[in-house]
Amino acid sequence: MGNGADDSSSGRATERKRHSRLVDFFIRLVREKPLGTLGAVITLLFLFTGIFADLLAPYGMNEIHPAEALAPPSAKYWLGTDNLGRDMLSRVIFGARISMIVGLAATTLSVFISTTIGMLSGYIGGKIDLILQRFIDAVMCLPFLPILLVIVALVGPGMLTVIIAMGIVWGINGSRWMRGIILSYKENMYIEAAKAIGCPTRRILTRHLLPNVMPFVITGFTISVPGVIITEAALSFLGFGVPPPEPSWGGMLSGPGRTNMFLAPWMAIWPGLALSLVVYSISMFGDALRDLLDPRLRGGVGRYGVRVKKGKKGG
Amino acid sequence: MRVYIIKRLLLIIPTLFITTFVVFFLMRLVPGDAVDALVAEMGQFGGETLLGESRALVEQELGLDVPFFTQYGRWMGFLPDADGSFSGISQGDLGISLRTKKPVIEEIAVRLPVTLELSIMSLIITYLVAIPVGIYSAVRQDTWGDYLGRSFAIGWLAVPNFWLATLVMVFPALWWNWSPPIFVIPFAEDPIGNLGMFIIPALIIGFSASGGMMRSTRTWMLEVLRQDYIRTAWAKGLRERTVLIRHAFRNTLIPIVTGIGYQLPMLIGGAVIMENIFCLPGMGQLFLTAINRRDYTVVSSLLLIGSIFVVFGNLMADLAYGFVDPRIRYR
Amino acid sequence: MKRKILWMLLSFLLVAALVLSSCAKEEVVGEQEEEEEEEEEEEEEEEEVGAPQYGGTLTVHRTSWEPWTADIIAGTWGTDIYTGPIVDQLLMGDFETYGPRGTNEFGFHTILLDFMPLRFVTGQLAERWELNPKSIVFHIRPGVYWAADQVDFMESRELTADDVVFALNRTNNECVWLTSTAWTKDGGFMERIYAEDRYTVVVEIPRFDFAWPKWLSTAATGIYAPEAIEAGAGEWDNVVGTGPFMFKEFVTGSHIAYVRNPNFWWKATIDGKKYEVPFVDELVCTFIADESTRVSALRTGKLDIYHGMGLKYEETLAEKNPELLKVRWLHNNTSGIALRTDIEPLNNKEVRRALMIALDLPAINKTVFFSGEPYTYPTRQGMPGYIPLDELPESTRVLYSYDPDLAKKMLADEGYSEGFNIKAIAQGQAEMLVMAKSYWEKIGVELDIEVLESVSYTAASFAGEYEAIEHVTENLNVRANFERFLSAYIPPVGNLNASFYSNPYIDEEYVRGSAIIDPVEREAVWKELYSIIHDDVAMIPIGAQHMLTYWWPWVQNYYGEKWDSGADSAPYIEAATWIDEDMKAEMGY
Repeated sequence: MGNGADDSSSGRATERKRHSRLVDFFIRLVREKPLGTLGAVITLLFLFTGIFADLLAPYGMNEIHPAEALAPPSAKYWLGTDNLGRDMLSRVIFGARISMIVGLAATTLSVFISTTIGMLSGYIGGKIDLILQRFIDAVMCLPFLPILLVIVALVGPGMLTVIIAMGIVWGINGSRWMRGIILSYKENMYIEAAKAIGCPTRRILTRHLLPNVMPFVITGFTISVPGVIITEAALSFLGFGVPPPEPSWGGMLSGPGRTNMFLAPWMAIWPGLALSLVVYSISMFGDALRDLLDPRLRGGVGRYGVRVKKGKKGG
Repeated sequence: MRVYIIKRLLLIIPTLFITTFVVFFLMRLVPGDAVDALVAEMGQFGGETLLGESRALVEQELGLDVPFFTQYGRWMGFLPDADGSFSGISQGDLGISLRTKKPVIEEIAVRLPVTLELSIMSLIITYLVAIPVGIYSAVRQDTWGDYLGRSFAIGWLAVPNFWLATLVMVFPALWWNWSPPIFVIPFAEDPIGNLGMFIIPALIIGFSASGGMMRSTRTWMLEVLRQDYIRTAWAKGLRERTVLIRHAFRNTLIPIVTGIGYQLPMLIGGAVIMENIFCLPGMGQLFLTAINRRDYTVVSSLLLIGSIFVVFGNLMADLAYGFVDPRIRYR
Repeated sequence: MKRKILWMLLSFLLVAALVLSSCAKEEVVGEQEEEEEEEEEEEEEEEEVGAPQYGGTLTVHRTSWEPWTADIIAGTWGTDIYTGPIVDQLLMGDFETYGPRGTNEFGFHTILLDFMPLRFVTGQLAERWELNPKSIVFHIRPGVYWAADQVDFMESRELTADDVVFALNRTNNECVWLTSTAWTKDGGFMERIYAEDRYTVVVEIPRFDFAWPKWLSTAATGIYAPEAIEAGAGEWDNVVGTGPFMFKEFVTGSHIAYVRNPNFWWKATIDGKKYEVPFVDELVCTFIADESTRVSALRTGKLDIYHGMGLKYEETLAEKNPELLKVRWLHNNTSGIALRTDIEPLNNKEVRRALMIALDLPAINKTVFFSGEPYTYPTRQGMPGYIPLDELPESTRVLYSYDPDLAKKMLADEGYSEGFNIKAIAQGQAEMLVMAKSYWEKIGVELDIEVLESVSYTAASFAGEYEAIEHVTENLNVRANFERFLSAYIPPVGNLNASFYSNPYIDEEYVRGSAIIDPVEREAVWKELYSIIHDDVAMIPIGAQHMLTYWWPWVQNYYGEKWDSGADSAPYIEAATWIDEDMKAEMGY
């Protein structure tokens, strides 16, 4: 992870400054992956908006002004009003909070489940692995959206249900991948060494294995979040998402946004835009992250790890 | 190899067994039963409702008056029905829909071809779009071409496909007086019309899904390009085209081809929304209706069939992977 | 480079395929229609312009709900929408005399028989009938034949009283979904149904019930042929009736199609001339689940008639498709918020009244419905027992004013100056509750809204798990309307009386009133009962919504009459409708 190694071929003077790993990482992020940086910034912006929604929103999230229903964007209502006269800007801001909560919480839950199962199954192996994998198989069999629908119908719609349902389903589906990674890392020398000196399993898992698979966990996380947010929108379309009157972007998009599309297109445009923007940003950031952290994909400026001097490009 | 196949096939049995139980169990826990669903629908039209004894009668007719395990046993064919006969999964009978009183097999048989056709068309489009873009993106990593490619992929990932479908449904009608066909045209009767019915939803699903596939392709391609044999080829002075097509591409093909095995079952579950908007009578629509009607037999059977598809899809994919990649040997 | 070209070529092919297939589709469909038109046009060339043309296909959208069986007894409400074209009833609304094509005294926008004044009702299969103190006698029309050409288990013989009796008794014995109080079992008002001779059906009634047209000539009493019932009335192929159409095909998720019955007994009267009907060869009813898809289909001429569109599309349709004809009507049902009259603090009548006064009802009606009528409770204009707003006593009229200060004062008087908490459930978007929440916040009442999916909502309504609920009352149907206030229908026995409202006086008077034969005397009873219900505020009414029916100008002899489930005239209306193919072609569809 140095910052001088691959500069030698181009003949530039190499820098000898040593940064900490984290700062180093950020420098690489900004320098090599501008789009990823942009994505990170936008994501943080939305996160910030979600956290401080109460302070930022000019009106309440369900505050009605029936006389001014379906009003186009104006000075008073920056993004217009919806069919009940609620301010769209406020709803989108609160929607950020809900979508963020759902997205992050569900993904955190899913990553936690994946990693736990992956580590138990992959590392410990043996009988536990066999039984667990059969169970995972059974759950993975079930088609994705349908099983979500069943779970939500089961517990009753609500933000918590949606989070738990998506977290569990995503987690179990992702555990296979995690297990694969653990299996390959298990064979590393340092693990064997730790075993040889009598390190207890729990310690090996937490101190040796986990930090090394962290990059994968992180990238898995950032890659899942957009999917979760979109799936919540799909569930809302079918009537199984975060129930009204909570303003989730997916719900706004699929519910009154769609039915009132002719009269007030802005009702659907803003949540849709916000949704797409957030998904886009997180995905870009996730991609950049993976490119930077995955040791197999490193060194990717230009072609095949060779930094081509200006003027020599093409072919 | 043969041992491996047999082992896998044997393992499927307990898996499916657990699946049937999970599926059945989940459905029964859902609040509101089939009778409530009936009443909910009735409420739409008139002031009628099911009262007291009539409700009990209907419940008995539907077999909902016996305890949960008895219902499961009957569905699986381990326990006899009310009239003493055995008819369940073990006898190959998927049961009778609680709402229409018709065999579930009939309902599914009508809708399966539609879903399959949509899935296959979507899959083709996904691959046609994603692979070229993914490869290009990988080959030109971190250049503007790559950025465009990735933006394209993530763009498709970010727009919910049902939103796109609504736009397609609404605005052409508004601007050009055109809308997709609303009636089902069987393939036998009119192949082109039939394709015309599916092409738009297939395009939307295809492009939507291409985002994810494009990124995986890119990742795989990048990995392949890092390999030493590619470096050797490059060092030998081969042209870019030769390096890519003869060496890199063929190895990237492996995960792509085997990926079909994993993709197809997922599409079957995911087409629910498209079928709704484009009036396609497929399995997704049946599933949604069945959940809303709390039609347990239909939901359980659909989930079971979906599971079977997934399991066999995975098996096929794994086997294909084993055949194609000489490094993999199964015990 | 070559790769790029290949890729571009592929994309081009894809786009080309798309364009070709959509064009091809249009052509093919167009071709089929043209072939039909050509055949008919050759025959009709010498007819004068404006005279009804035979032939063509009428495509209608009524509801997106799909029937799952052809047997009306097993099928519940809604199935009769689809069996209606095939199967007849005893009575029907006289749309030709009293509707828009006649004296226009009655719009026939919803045609449930038991609210239609009896003078608007005429016989369908029954030529005439007699109301005797202890019996109702129907004289069956001779010369009506079963349309059995498509089946092989019976001949197209004449309809007799025995057939009618068979069908009615089957409904009596086997139908579970029609509230059982009507039938002979469970102490209903009918005792015996039998055929006196070839064309006379006698229904013996121990006591009179004003809702008799509903019990004897509504959805579940569709007269199927006995042989059809024996062959299995659940199969569409087996359904044999005497109606204007015969069954053709049912494609699940798409549509249901009917062909004309060549021996249909009824004749349409246009400009004084009688015509054989149906005019069209085929009637197609679509089930399109998604509203935007439906509107697009209407716009592009794929749908000829669209019943029941919401008001929100009116403007754009007027702008982009001004040639569409339309009619506006008021929906059957009145929506509102039902309050539990048995739970604190809502069991206090003054508290409920205060809550109603705190709401700006016309504003809520306008916002949620776009266009509607706020004052349709407990019954609406044109129905027996209706009292206009300005004729209400002051104590009731004040309920409709919007006065948060008065409401707050009323609450304080009852000891609730601190306000209180109400838990409410709804399905869908819960717009009424969201708005109510805002208004009630101002008087200190906190509303917790829980939105449930429709089946869970139904389960919860049966279990009474709420203090307030978004509820719908059917007030174009006197009987169903009152059921919402009778003790007998309190959950969990039924879920109609969502307010758990119990007033023994009303229970008794309702029974007494239903047995009164003289409509004027009966109306006086209803008026009194409605006043009590109105004052008691068991439900806060938001009113009813306006709906639209659209149709293309080439659909002739159609005046936007809507029909409802349980009605019987609608297929006759559609049978009397013809399509002007020239106009259609001229307009470019």
